[in-house]
Amino acid sequence: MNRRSLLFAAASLGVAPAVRAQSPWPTRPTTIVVPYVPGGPSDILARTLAQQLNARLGQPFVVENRTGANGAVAAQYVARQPADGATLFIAASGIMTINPLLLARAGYDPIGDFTPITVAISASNLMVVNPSVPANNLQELIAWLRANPDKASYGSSGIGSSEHLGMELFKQVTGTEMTHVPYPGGGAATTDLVGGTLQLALLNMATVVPQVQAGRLRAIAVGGRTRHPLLPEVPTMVEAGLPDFTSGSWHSIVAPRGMAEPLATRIHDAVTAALRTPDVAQRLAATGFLVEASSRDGLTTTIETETARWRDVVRRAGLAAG
Amino acid sequence: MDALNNLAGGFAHVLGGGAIFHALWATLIGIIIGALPGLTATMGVALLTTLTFGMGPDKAMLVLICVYVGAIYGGSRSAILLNIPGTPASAASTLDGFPLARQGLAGRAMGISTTGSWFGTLFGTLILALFAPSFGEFALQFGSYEMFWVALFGIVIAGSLSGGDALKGYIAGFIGLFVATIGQETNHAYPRFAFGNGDLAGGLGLLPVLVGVFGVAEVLSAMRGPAVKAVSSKIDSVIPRIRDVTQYWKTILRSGALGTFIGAMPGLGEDIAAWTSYAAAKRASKEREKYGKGSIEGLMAAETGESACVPGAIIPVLTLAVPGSAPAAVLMAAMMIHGLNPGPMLAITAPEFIYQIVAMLVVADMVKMFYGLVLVRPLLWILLIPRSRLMPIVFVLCTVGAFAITSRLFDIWVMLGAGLLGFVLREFRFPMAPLVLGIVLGDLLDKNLLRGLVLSGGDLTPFFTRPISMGLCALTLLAAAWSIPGLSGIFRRKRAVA
Repeated sequence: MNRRSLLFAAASLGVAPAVRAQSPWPTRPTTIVVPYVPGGPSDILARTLAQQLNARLGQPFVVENRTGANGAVAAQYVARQPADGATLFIAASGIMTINPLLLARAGYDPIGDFTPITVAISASNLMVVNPSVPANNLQELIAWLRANPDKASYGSSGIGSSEHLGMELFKQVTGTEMTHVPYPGGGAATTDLVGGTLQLALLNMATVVPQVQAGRLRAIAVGGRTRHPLLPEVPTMVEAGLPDFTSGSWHSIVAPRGMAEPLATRIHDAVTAALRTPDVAQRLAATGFLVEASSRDGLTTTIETETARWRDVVRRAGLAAG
Repeated sequence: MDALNNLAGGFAHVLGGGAIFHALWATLIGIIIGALPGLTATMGVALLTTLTFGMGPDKAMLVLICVYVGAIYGGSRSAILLNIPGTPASAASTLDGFPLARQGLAGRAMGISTTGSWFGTLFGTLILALFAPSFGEFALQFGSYEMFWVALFGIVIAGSLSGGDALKGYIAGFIGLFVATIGQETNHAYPRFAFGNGDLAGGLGLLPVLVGVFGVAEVLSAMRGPAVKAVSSKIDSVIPRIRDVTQYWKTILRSGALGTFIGAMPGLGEDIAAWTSYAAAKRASKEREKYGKGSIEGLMAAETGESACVPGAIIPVLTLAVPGSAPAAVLMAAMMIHGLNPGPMLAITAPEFIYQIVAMLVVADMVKMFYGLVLVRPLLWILLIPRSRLMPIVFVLCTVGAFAITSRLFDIWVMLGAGLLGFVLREFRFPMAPLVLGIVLGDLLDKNLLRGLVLSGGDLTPFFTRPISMGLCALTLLAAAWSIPGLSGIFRRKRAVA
């Protein structure tokens, strides 16, 4: 074994000398894998980031959409790639927390198969009702739901979405009953909610804010930890009387497992710096997302605490692995 | 007068600062993306969205609208020249476009396609400018119950698309409906016909199947033998004829109205617009026997319908923040990224924006007409390439197209399987149109029936008692009765007496 291969071996073990701390990245085009079709929030995030990183680091960043099985196809693919910085993954909250709970064989482990980089962006869900529902605040809504068990239907953007599980959690905490109607996306659910076929929903902020502003839907409470800048007058669920209730989604960036610490740190720094650019933050805010740019440990903690919470909801709602 | 002033303002705003240059390149890219089998308008708009980040919102919207308009139009180039629809929207254009090309009239067919498409977009844009708010409101009345009937109505009138043997048409249609049921159902994610296979549980994509039954099957047919004589290279008329327009003005208006209406319905898209316009034109036609053999009216109807759908699909984006089609959904995301907030508040916060969109659509439509005239001759050269050289290239393009949308190898297998099936069915003279329509409408029918039943708690009555449902139900029954030869004879005789 010559000196060079020894050096490589050392580098791959993550015990590279200090000089290597400034890991040369990227050395070749980096692929950002998006688990959903072009045009959605993950895709927008990936393309915005790709453009920023491209300009900052002078290497091409390519976006690749690999769809299927609620993101599991892309997750399995990324898990098999080498951890050399040439592959990054836009991992949505559903992929990292809910999928493994709902699918018998998700085919990947959200913690074990990936190197965490950052929670990039987050969006709150908003509890909205059709104006025909006689409730102006959360307490009135709960009272109305209790008085009319199983009369109300709520829409979501699909089975296992944060909107679906958020509402199941709401049912469990408030002891109310209603029917779940999944749609192929939040937009389709909004149409039926405005049209009066559905009575309520806990939907992604950006999808429903235009309807709330026009008075076609009534906002009851925000699922975020804080009030949302787009609707500052609407209270959070916690303020409205449901302690510990949050509902929303986030998108994280992860790399394949076993990435050397210096490289992971370097990618983290580059990605979070790009996210914090005013232009990027503004672009993402327009689609209802707030930039988080969390620490690497922050992502791991988020995955662990949320998985624990949703495991409980999934079990009690009888949705577990089928 | 106000509206006119606003419109003039919209044009003045849009036409400044190199707008024509942007419109020219964006429409051309759209046409190319549309003409390549498998690359769709949705994908084109999504990919170009990234490129427009650095532009101002006005220019960005102009570019994206041009790509959208161009791609829907471009899909018909390959449909006419190769019998392979470039996008799902152009599948109906193969029915008469390709037979025309085979008769040595490819140039004329492209001319008709250009004229029809141009009128279609213009018609839809006019509706958008005049009636956007009320059209949007009407679209909201269509819930799951109503959409179920829309799908069923489509399936019933699809029987008329079979050409020769109606029975073979229905068999092909049912194969399509069956393909649509493969994969997880919508309410409980219960896998159907998946046999424990994860890929099958995800369902068969429309695009790989479409590329298979048209593209791969065409390649196989060409390989089978020299039966198909190379298309005559004689260059026919390449300038659209005024007479085609004056003769078929009723078809153009009907298809324009249908296309715009279908565009405005969330969940329906350009493909359904084209099929519906085609089927409606065939029903009303005096020269029904020409359909499927190179009917100018049929091609005109399909082209007008799909292109009218584009402005139609933008109507609910602007008035409700609900997209009317898949490319319109990406367009809406791009609007949000650029800080334009589409939706019910737009008419209050930025009414001028609606008129700017109208101006952009008109610009895109004019540029499309320009390319329609300029590109005919170069495109005709494709027909001069021997099919033995052309078909391998087409096969590679098909494979790339099927793979591109999700990067899954499974989709290539689906494409090959569908190609083989399509080839065998063709050999036995089964029509392909009902098969594709079955897949498109089967999905709509299945999802809306199941969702409607969940909403009503298993009760069927809302499907019949809601006002619009009732009307659509009556329309479907009437269409079904009309297809029974004896009954339609009675209808016609009565009309003759009256």
